[in-house]
Amino acid sequence: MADNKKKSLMIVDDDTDILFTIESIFQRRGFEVFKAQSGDECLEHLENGFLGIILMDVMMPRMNGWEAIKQIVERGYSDKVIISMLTAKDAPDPDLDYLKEYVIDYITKPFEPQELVALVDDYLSLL
Amino acid sequence: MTNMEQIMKGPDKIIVIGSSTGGTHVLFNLFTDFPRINAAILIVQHMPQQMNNRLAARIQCGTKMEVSVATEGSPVIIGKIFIAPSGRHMKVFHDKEIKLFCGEKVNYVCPSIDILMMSFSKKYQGKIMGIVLSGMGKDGTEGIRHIKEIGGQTIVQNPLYSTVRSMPESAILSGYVDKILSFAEIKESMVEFAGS
Repeated sequence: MADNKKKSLMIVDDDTDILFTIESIFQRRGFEVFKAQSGDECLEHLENGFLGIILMDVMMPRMNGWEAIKQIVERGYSDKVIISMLTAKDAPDPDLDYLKEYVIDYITKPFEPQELVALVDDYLSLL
Repeated sequence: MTNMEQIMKGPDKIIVIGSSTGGTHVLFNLFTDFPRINAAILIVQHMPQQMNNRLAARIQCGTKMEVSVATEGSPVIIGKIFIAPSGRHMKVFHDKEIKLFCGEKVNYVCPSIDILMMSFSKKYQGKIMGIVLSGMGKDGTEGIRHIKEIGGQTIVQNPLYSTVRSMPESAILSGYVDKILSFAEIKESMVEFAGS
């Protein structure tokens, strides 16, 4: 995969403060950052060819994070992305166990910017 | 011992690691400056298929052991680390040879940690270590029970330091876990268990 594609990051969160904070952190580091405020918008980016890392909030209107991941898998996009959940909950819902192989990590808000950068760097090495 | 003799005999010691959501960081930390130990290491990480080779390459950066995505029939010998490929269960056949097969998901996943851990016999009494790291669900719990029952050592990552704690907690609740450790302590235990 080309380097420019490796450095694409999508933030999916209905909280605009989170979207712009994370965008700022990663744009400064040379990432192409895509923002989505719902699962629907995340899928639109994927339909338009997004490849890269997705930081996915859980609780969102219209389509939540887990529903979006189900759609990502069903539509065959899961081999183009690395997904990490970005959530205020301290533990995933056990009912969502069947999606675990598509979610590489689980980042709990609030997060430290340096910690987030280190995690995303790790994900890049797997993409 | 020649290579062929070692292949025929199987490794003296085996370490089996099961990891899921939140576990890749732990694997990266475990295998940073990791020495060549006198054991074979087998890893099941729940992950999408496109990550398999990248994970192997990343782990290879931190160790002199030989890391690869497991292939059918590979001999399990000292100094090698095998990563189970996504979409196939992995077993060790006759305690010394990799067996891969497609099958129903177990604990919602394929490969399953339980399937791999439960493929070892009592031949490895005192010579096998099972480790469960961060993850969702309960995969690895039955495997840990089996490894304990055949006389192996069992370790889980301390849930307090696990990104997702349900998998190590489930193993602990089984009552078959010897030690609950941080990743640094797990690394020390692996080296101490096998010798370098």
